[in-house]
Amino acid sequence: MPLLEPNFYALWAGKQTAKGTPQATPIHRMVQVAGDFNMPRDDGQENWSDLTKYGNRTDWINSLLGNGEPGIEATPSELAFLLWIFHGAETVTPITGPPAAQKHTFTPAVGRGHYATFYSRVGQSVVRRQQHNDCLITRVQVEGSTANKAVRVTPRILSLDPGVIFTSDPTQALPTDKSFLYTDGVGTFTIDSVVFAGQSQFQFTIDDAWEPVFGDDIVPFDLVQGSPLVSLGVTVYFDATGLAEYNKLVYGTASPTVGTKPIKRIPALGSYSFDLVQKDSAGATTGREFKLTIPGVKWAVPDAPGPNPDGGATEVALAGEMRPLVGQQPYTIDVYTDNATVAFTT
Amino acid sequence: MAPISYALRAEFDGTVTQELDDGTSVEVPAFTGGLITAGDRDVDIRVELDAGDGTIVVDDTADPALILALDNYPALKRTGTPEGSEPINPYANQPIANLRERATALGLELYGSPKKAELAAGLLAADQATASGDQVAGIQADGTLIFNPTEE
Repeated sequence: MPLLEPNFYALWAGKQTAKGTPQATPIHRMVQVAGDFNMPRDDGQENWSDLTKYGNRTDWINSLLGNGEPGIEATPSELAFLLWIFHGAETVTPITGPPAAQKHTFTPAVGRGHYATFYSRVGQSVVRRQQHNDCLITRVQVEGSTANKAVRVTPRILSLDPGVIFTSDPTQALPTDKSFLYTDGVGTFTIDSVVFAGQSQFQFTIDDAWEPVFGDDIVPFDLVQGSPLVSLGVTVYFDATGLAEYNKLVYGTASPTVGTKPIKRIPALGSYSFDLVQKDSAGATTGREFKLTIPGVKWAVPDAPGPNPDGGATEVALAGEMRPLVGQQPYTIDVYTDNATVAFTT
Repeated sequence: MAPISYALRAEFDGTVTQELDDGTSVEVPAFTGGLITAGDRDVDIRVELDAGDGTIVVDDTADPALILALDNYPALKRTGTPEGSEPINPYANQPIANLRERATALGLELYGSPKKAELAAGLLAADQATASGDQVAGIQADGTLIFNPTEE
């Protein structure tokens, strides 16, 4: 008997018209590279004595909730789709070209995202097919690095109606556009208005902090929002530029003089941005682009690089949180897709 | 009701010329569109702008979620309300089950099982009447309201 083949798998998604109305024909297929969906059942119990050694227990189900954190390669249309589902809004404008494209812009929206249905299939001859309805993306993480150059988007998904069996795969094929690569952003990774060619990793997370609350059922009564947070993690090599950044955060100046002591106040806010411009095999721009701008970042003071008897490259990890600036969007994400991918509706 | 109206900001208004891969050019709107959530429903900004001849009119008493969403939408700005324009009905595109739920939550009786369009119209009218200080008792099959008698 064959075993389920975990290296055969697929993931589709589509927007729902409303909560409780699953999308029957999802038109987005993701290049999934990590993670999965689960539907953990939380059981509760109460002990009581029946005058035996082990006693007895009353068991019940506390909650049944679907969740997933699939790691997905950031192909342009699918990245834009996931950001649209998460934000519940987008502003789409045409790029005149050539090449002509559509720019999908995302800034913080005030409400929830769109409800979506995710279809996951694992296996070739032994197949697990599960459809997760009434999904909301509660957090999005985008990351790229020197080590893994395919930029990855990882949505944190809550499903209020998880694990429904389906029998035939959606027909949507994989995207033809390639994923954005970390090296598409060469010369554009900018920390506090300084270009850092020695950046080896970035991780950008928007957490809208939606949490389920339960009433008289084991499925959620509703979702409530906690404390949303936009955070950023960047790793840079500790060269002269890295040292200057460290000095600014610790001493308040890029080049502290003799006797300078660590500052006793919060320094001015920093900033972060990049612009990944995709190119084809001939080096021509494809029109696909992925830009991030965070104008206000409060960086934490990083640890100073220590000695290492084995030598090697010295890096410093910067952790930051977004702080809003008056008159500016807290962050702006632009994703340029093919010209046919106009404003999403499904 | 004091309607609040929105129109495209100057940089999103008008048209631009796109140069296509086949060498031809095409004139397209400078704002392609955007489908957003407002409360529990979707609002298609491009569709609503086209339907309102370039303006989206919102009822400030019945639709606070949409006002907040549009105030935060980068392509839009507040503008004057064109004479004779009607506000978006926030109930128009919602499932009838949601509309019945809303009526129940407001304590409104439904007389003669109003259909979706009539129920949506009745709910908007009830919101506006309540904001004006009237006491609405229910919605009739044709969407008109039944009021509680006022005390002398």
